[in-house]
Amino acid sequence: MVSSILHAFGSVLTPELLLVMLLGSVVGIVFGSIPGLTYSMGIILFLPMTFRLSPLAAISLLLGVYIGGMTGGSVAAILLGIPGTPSAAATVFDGYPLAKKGLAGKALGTALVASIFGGLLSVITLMIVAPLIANFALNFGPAEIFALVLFGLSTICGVSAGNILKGLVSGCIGLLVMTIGLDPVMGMPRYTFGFSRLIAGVDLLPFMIGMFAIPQIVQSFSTTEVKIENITSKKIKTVYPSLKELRRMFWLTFRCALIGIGIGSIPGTGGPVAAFLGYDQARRTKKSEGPALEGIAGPEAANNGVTGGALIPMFTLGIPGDAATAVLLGALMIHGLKPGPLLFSQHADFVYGVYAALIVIHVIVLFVQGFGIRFFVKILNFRKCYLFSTILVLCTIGAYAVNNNVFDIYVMFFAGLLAFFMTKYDYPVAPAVLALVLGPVMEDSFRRALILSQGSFNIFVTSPISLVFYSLTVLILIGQIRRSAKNAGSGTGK
Amino acid sequence: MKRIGLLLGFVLVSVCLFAGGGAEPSSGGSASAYPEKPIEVTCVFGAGSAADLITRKFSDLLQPILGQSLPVVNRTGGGQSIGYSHVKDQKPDGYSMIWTSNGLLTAYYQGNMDFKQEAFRSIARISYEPVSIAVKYDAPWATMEEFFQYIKNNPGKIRIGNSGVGSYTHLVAAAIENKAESKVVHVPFGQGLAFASIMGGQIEASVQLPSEVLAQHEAKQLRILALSSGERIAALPEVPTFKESKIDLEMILWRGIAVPAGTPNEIVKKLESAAKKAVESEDFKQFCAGMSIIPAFQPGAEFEKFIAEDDRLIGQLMKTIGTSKR
Amino acid sequence: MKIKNHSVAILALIVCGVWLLYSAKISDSTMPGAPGPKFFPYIIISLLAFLTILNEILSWRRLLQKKKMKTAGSVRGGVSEQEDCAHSPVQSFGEEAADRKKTFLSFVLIFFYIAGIDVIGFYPAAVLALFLALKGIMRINWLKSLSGTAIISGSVFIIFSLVFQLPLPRGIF
Repeated sequence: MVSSILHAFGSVLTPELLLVMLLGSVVGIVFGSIPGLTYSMGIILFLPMTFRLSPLAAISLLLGVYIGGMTGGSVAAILLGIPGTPSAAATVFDGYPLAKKGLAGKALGTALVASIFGGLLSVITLMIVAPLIANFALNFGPAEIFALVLFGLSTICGVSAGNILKGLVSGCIGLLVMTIGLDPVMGMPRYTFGFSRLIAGVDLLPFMIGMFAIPQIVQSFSTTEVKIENITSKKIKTVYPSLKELRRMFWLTFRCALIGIGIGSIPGTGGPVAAFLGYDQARRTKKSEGPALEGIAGPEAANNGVTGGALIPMFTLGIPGDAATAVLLGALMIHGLKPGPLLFSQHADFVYGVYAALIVIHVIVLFVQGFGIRFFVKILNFRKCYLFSTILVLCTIGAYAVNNNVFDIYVMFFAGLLAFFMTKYDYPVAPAVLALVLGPVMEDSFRRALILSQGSFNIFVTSPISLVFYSLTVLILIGQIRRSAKNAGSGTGK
Repeated sequence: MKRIGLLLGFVLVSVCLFAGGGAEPSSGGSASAYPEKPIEVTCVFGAGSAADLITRKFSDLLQPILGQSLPVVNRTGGGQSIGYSHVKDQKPDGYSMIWTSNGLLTAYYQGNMDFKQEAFRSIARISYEPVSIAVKYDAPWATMEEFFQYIKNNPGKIRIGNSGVGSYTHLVAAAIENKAESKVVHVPFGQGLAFASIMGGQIEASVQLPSEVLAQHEAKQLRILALSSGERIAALPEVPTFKESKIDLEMILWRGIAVPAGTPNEIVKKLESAAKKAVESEDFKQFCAGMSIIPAFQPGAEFEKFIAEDDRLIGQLMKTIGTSKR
Repeated sequence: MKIKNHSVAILALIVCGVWLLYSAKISDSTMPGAPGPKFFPYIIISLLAFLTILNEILSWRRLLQKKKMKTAGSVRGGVSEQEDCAHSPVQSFGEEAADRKKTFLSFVLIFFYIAGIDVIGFYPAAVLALFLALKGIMRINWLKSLSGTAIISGSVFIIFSLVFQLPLPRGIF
């Protein structure tokens, strides 16, 4: 296998393919770093362009967009407090406060390093143990996914900014929003309030863009320019985290990358879920409360782990691991390649070529984004008024482009209004986002599990995988209750 | 510096406004000049799905024939109603096209939409796709007859996955259940998840479009037991049809293109002949062969009759099964 | 501050009520074995109502306790919303008080911008909104507003409509 991979590098390091990968990566980074535009959009936009290319070139281009986009999402999250892609939502939590403290360069550097590390680890996993993982992932039926998602929701506490009760309320609000639209299992309309447009439900992307971006935009419009951010006044010194810091975060980054790989390989879950779980891990590893580089490394390693992870079921079984890989799958089919168990035997060259391309893409992204960090930071030097006006326009495009529906832009607006008031009354916004990400999966998997078992609740407790996640959830909740009891004890008490 | 900025600004603004206005052809442009700008094609399914792929391939083929690009726009959701509703409300000037399928009818009977094919002017039927039913390779049933017998004798034990409640694949599964006079558990899944569930042992069979399971069938992980079409298809020569397996059922998924009702005849005719050329091209034939699609061109007038007949059949079928709201 | 909190609680309960009302309209059909479409919404509504009421009760209790402490001569304990878990991972609004009128206007502007996208098309609406935002809300002089509007909308146009050919709403045109 080693010789085939080396040979594959040869086929990949041609001018044509290098150009294509560079293009894809740059486009991906740009799309990822601009709030409102996502890598999914980029992949779909560039799909027609790939028809004329050879299969390897086509898939390399799209992979470049995918990986570049996932990595680039951290830029806007850190610098502006608006996630560039939904998978970068968790990066905002520690990234943005760190940037405000003047550590923007280091934050961006950490995000980049963690992302590339997570991505490369996922590619290596893909190369070596893909079939094993794919087969294991098949054991994740609806009941197991439900357990997993329940575990994910228990991390809500970590993002509740101190007030669990309000965090839970925020989560409930997110869940309520999720119920609008067609019921995921039966296809029955719910809570459409007579508006036919609402039948499509509330899409995650416009809602998330709205929650993060609109309050920022409004704030920048309505406050005087002079001293909003002090990021620009401080000089950006270091761009990469120091070796000591890297060593400190290594184990965390590794863990979160694994989480990402796992989540990616389970069809039905994707980037945002992994990012939130990664953030939760980081929160536990941090030495102190307060924003730290760990809070960036965790989510970023996780979401890039998803990229390789999602390719595992795609290549070995022909099932897409997430929405972006679904389009990649389509691209392969148009080129006459059928991803699946036979791909290896029939087109081994192609598969090895893809592996080589993946590694090269990560290197390209590392350099391009690393080089670009200096320029990204300069963005903050723009006058806030122009910067946020541009962001407003871009966000409307991004919200529209999800489903080519103006309605989604309204969703963005109302989400922003909601987030504004929630923050005003000290309700954390993050749990609502988490609920919107996980809620649909939770309901869908719960009901489908019951359909499979024909009403018997046994299906939830008989699988060892489910039990593992349930115990983890219980442990977290116990830990949480204990902590809050301790804190409350020193306060006004219950 | 300021003045340059001002000049640049005005230039850009004027470019903007002109481009925004100028992108429209002169009002009521003559049909012989059609198409004068890109034609937007809507696909009611998500990017990467079988429907999306044929849409994109066809757009690619039509571009040199019509001389304009046909960008594909995915408008999903609402059980396909969002996409259909959007296009039906567009101006009938030939610049909004949509791909229709039996989904248009099932969505109507399901109650997701209040209109069906009359809201559109059908241009041409493009393709057929049979629906396949597949089980795990090492399942106890090697043929469709065995499986059908099992369903007959064991009501409520078999779980069959489909691509969504009310979808065409669900309809096929329900029709089988009906013919067997038995009961089956229908488990709706999103795209692609059904296969994972078969392998994971959570369902026994799955009803899907062959292109979605072709690779796994060839790899001998799944076994496609039968196809719903009237005849076998080239991509799967060894797979019998329902009729050959002694099940009196023939159902086929058709796809075609349409524009909003009221589009002028000359435009429709132009699109129809362009579509005919595309369907008859070698490129398209090769594409279909790889995706187990059957090219099935039918000109607009006959197509509309065909849809009307299918409308009747589907309405009846859904009523019998009990999934119809009308 | 306290009054605001209570109004939020009332609002939440109203939302619960509205949702409950509309829950009745959902059809009950479901596949055998699984709960219908109403199941989850009911759970969420009850959870929300429960949490809201719990929150209310707790804040009243704290209020009463504070009153007791005050009359006892010492002011103890923190305000309700304090550190149980970690720090705030969410953006907190700037230290300076944002101009309320401008905030309100910004929201209104954005809303009409979106409505404009639907009615008069994307670019006309964007040009209008940008200009009004720069000149009207942020009070930038004519020159800078116009050039800013032009540059932003121009670049967006070039990138999205010319290079990417992304279809954007045309409005009534």
